[in-house]
Amino acid sequence: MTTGTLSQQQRSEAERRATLARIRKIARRTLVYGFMLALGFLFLFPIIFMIVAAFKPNDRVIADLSSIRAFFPNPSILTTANIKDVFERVPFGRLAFNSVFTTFVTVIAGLFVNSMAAYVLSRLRWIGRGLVLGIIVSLIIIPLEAIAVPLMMEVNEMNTALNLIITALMAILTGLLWAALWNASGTWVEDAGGGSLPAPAAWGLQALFTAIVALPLEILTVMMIRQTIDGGTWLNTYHVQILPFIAEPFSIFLFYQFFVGIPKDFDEAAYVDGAGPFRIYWQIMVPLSRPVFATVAILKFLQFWAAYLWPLMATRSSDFRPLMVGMDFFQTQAPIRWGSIMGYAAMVTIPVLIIFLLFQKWFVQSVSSSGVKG
Amino acid sequence: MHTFYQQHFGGQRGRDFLIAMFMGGPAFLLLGLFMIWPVIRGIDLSRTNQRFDGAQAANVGWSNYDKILSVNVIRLPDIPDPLPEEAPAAGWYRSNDGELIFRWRARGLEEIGLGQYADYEIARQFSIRDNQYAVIAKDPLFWKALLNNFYFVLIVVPVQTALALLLALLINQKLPYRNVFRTLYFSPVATAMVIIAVVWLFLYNPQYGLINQMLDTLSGGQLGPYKWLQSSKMAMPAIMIMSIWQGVGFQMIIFLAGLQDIPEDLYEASGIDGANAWQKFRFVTLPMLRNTTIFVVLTTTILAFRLFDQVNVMTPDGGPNESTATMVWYAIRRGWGQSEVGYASAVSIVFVGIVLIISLIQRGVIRSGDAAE
Repeated sequence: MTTGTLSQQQRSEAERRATLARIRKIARRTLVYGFMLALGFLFLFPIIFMIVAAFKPNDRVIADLSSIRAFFPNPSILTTANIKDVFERVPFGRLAFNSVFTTFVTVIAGLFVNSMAAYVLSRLRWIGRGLVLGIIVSLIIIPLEAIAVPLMMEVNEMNTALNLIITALMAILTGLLWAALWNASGTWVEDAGGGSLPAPAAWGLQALFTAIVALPLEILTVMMIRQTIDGGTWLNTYHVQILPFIAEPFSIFLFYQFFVGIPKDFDEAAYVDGAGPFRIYWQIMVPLSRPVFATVAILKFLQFWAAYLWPLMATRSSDFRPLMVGMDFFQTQAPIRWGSIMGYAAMVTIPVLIIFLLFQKWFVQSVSSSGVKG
Repeated sequence: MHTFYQQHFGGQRGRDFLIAMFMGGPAFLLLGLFMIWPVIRGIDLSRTNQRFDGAQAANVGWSNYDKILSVNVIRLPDIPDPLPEEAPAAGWYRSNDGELIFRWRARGLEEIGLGQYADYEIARQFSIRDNQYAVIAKDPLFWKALLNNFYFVLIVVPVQTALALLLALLINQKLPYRNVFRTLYFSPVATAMVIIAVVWLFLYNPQYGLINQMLDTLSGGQLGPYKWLQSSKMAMPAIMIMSIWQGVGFQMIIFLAGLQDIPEDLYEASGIDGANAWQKFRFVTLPMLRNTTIFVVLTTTILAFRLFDQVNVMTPDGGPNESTATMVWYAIRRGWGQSEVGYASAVSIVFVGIVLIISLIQRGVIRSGDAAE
């Protein structure tokens, strides 16, 4: 670029200014990054402290609390004694299984049940639809905490009739899911190279696949059958931690919002082709709504993984207790070892943090789409 | 009847109704069984003295509600016998600071001539001029829990919303690696509250705790050391700080989504009009975030009212001087801890009522704001 009109002095002046602007920009960025890093430390330090303390000898946990050693331990003293102590004193494996199992079944069954309800609310015209929708929206603000005490009373004295109804409900749901999965798995089995198999073998594969994917609902049905036969209280079981939370107004609402936004042309085309409502739901709505399924799954996962109040009230023994309630053991049973508490906390947190880091994009997306527009 | 049936349950609509009941029925039935029925059952139980241990329950009418909600302000009669030297086991005495104190737990109100308030306890005393007044309630702990709840909500909701917005603005700058910071600020949300509460128990340790240490270093010895959870003044703020720390990342993400929905040309247009950064924020960002802010405030309010987990982990007995007792904590303690299901149900129903009223008020305020625009 020739700037003949600019004198040497003007040019150097312009250069000086450009340098100044660059320096100012760099300084500003450094400041912003410094501030953001400081904030990052603020958000992270308790978690770092917990993980570090988990691997320190018990007596150093408190002793190091107020020094820089809380974050940068002397590497030579690191030990796994706390972790061993956790395994010795509580059935950690069982607690972890309970947590994973109840969370998993609640989330999967919830996705199925809530999305179907949202589908019939958003797509079919039936008498009472407006009323049901209104009730569900107003139920969103009723917190579990407010109904926990009467709910505990209710599940303690479930009678056979109610048990039977719920068993039948679970059986119907399982049947529906079977039908849907069997239908869908035909093409999946073929795609996976099963097309070359003889018919009975392909059917077997299809049946196996169906049975495995529908496992959460099958297990619930079996549990309910046993509950109906044995009778008695629901307290201290798995299903008391699952069944009350499958249907959830906020999940239904999220699904409903998403389904309403899907153009009706899709299902009308399928309807003209002779597809029934369930088929339209399963083959058109579900594949089109993957983002909202991910949203609901992640939000419910965060909620049920951290569930504390209800498991605390509804379970009595570590046979059925989840990890969050298991924490109480270390705080109440002598000897109270701070190292073990931190070890337990870290063991509960690290797997979820890893999952979070791997899928953080999904987590963030699901949270941002829970913020309803308007 | 036949035409009604034809109209509503015959033909296409009838088929739709059956399918709706078949596909949506499971969710509706489960919601009815485990959400609506407990509310109805709760109303029913709240009028009994039902206990969880199976003792025979009797109908007690509205007396549970009467006990919960009875509150009054009375003027205390003049001091019967001044006892200047030593504090008596019960009655009035003057403390070392010269303050007049009435020991009420040891002596009922009827003994000082207020027999009609025999069921009440003194929750708080104050004096206007030379007259002594007292706030009395039949269940002072409920009112304490209610006030604590409001204290928590009134501080946490605005502070958390404002901080979330600030963080979102910070992250929304077009800087490299901003997603790393987004993940950092969000990570407490992915950690369970119970675990966080246990870790913060250590951080709040009055003697060795990192938080006191940091405050001391940062303020050059001006601040602290605080006793945090061991002091009735600082216990609730301690729980507030931790709750904000844990929850702010969630709201930040929602604000971030709102910010990214604002069209870029609005900023460009206002830039051409000569708006500076603050004016852009005030006249473009804030109005465009109105719906997001409403959503965040509504959800945070409901969440804040449900405060239980951290309180129960950090201060299982309600904190020093019951300063961290909350309504949910109180209902659970009475219903589950002390097995008084009837009374706890009444507390729960009152809690639901309060949450309902608050949300209705909020919605009303928003609607009138809409009308004003």
